[in-house]
Amino acid sequence: MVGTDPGSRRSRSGRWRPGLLAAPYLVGTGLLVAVPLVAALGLALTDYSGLVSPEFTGLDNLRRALSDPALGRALTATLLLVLLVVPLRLGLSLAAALLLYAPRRGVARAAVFLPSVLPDTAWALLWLWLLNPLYGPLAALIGPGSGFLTDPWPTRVGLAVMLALQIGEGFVVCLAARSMVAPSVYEAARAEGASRWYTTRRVTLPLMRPALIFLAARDVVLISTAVFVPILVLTGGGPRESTTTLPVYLYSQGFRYGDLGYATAVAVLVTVVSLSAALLVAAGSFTAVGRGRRRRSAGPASATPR
Amino acid sequence: MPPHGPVASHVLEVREAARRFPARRRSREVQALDGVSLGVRPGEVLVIVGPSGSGKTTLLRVLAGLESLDSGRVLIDDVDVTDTPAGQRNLAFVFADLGLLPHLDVAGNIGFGERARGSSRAEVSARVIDVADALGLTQSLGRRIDTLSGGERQKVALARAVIRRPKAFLLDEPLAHLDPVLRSSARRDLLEVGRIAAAPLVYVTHDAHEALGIGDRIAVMRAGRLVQVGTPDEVYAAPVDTFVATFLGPLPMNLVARDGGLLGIRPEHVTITARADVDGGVAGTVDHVTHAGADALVGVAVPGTAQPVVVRVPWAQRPEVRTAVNLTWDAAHTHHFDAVTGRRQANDGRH
Repeated sequence: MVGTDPGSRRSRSGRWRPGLLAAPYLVGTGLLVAVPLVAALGLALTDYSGLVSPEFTGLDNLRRALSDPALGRALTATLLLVLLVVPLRLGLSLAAALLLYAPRRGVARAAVFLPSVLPDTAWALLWLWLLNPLYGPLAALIGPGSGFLTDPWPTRVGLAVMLALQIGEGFVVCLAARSMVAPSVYEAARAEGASRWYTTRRVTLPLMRPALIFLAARDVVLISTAVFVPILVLTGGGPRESTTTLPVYLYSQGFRYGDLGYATAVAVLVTVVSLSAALLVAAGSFTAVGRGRRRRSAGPASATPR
Repeated sequence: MPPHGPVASHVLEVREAARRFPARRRSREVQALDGVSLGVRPGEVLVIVGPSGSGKTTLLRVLAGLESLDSGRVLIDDVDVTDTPAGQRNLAFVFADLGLLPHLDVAGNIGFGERARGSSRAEVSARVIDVADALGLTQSLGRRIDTLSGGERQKVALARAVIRRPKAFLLDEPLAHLDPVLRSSARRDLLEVGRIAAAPLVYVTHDAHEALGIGDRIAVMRAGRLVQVGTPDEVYAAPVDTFVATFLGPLPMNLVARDGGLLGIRPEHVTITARADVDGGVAGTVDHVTHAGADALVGVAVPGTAQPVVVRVPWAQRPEVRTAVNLTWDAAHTHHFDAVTGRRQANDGRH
């Protein structure tokens, strides 16, 4: 179209073009996200086993969820896993990116990315062996009574380490964020006599902050709603429900106990909770930035370099 | 040409500096510095000028300690600092793109180095206020860098340099990113800062016109070598070779083949007369006339010379294009260069 006469024809087609270009994506999103979402909202208000047709029960499922102690335990398990995995992942992605930012580190970069390329099932089976209390190398390293896969806390930690090593995307995002920082900024810091540690703390980290916030929010959502296969393979939710996170819980409600209506209601709740958590993470960091800016812009009295 | 004159004590000096950048995937090997010796005298403005790729920025970075040397030495107050890291040389470097920290406000940027070197917050804060006051930045201390104009950013970079009370200021094309209107006032700020701090300025630029305008001394570089060092007067009046003659100045020197050598004559030293009053001189035809404010630059095609000879005349006295004219000049203003090496010859009209 570009280059044809700039008359009415072009402006008319121009008005429609963005919509046309987005159409395939919009159709996909509609069919695969919006429709199931609405259907789920409807299903959440029913008693449905998947065998007979759903029966409308109003807010019964919601009431049940709010007083379901098992759901509370799943929420706690999820929260604990989030608290373990998110900082670990962030720290590892960041450390790996800063160490491997230099040129000619291709092999090392590939090594960091590798666990994320493996299928979840393969990765989890590998860790099932590593952590096996009878013949697993990690368990052997720590000695008998390591408690991997048999006691709640060692299992949580083992699971967290397994999940935290899958940092492919986070690592790439950190690498990209690091390379967005202008080299002259580092030269200036060097010329000013700033140590490497000071430069990392006062230059690199603040400049990478938006990417880090994004990654944290993303991981909170992923772990509380999407990470499922590796947990199911490694622990099946045990021992004693200690790793029954929300996705594992609603899977068992829906497909083990055949309570699809209730599972859907839980899924809707989980979506709302994880979205709010992610928003909180993002909003919290942004207000922190805003507060710092306001404090520092309070006139000459604020001439304090941090 | 001795690279530095009778031993004036130098604040900052390089001796026999050599630096080669090895070939990379997309670039050939470059000899960025090739036996360069240069000293900076107390309080002076030393301009390093040369075309791009001449090694001038590398030389500045070597002085600062941001670039290492293959051989040669760097001295500050006659003390060898060749292996001293950049941060410990107490020199202030102003980068071409300023290198400001976008996440910090103006105060944070000005005080960054002081804090990094371990001064207390209160101490730095007081210094920041002083320096900002001197540069007229007091009102902007709390602003973020991305809300500042180009001129203000320039001042912040300068303030960050000044707060250190450096031995010398090293400026890498500090005005390159400013628009022409801001440039002259920013240039005045720079020179003023050097004067107040009583520290020499080493100023890198590719703009020969600017070099003549601000330098107490000018060091002309080409292909990693120092070609000529001297006051603007010396370098303009007696360029050591055809490169300096054509590179330095508002206009390149005219070069005309004469008697097996090259005759050099500046556009302002040629007189145009109508062909009628031929009495010696060189005959030619007006090729083009360019407007240069109060003056006209008249290009005169002379038989046997590839480039038209450019003559600067008052605008009102410009000849018409394609008229036949006669060019004359005073022998006192001519320069003679070797046709092969391009070097200045001793038997010229000046000296």
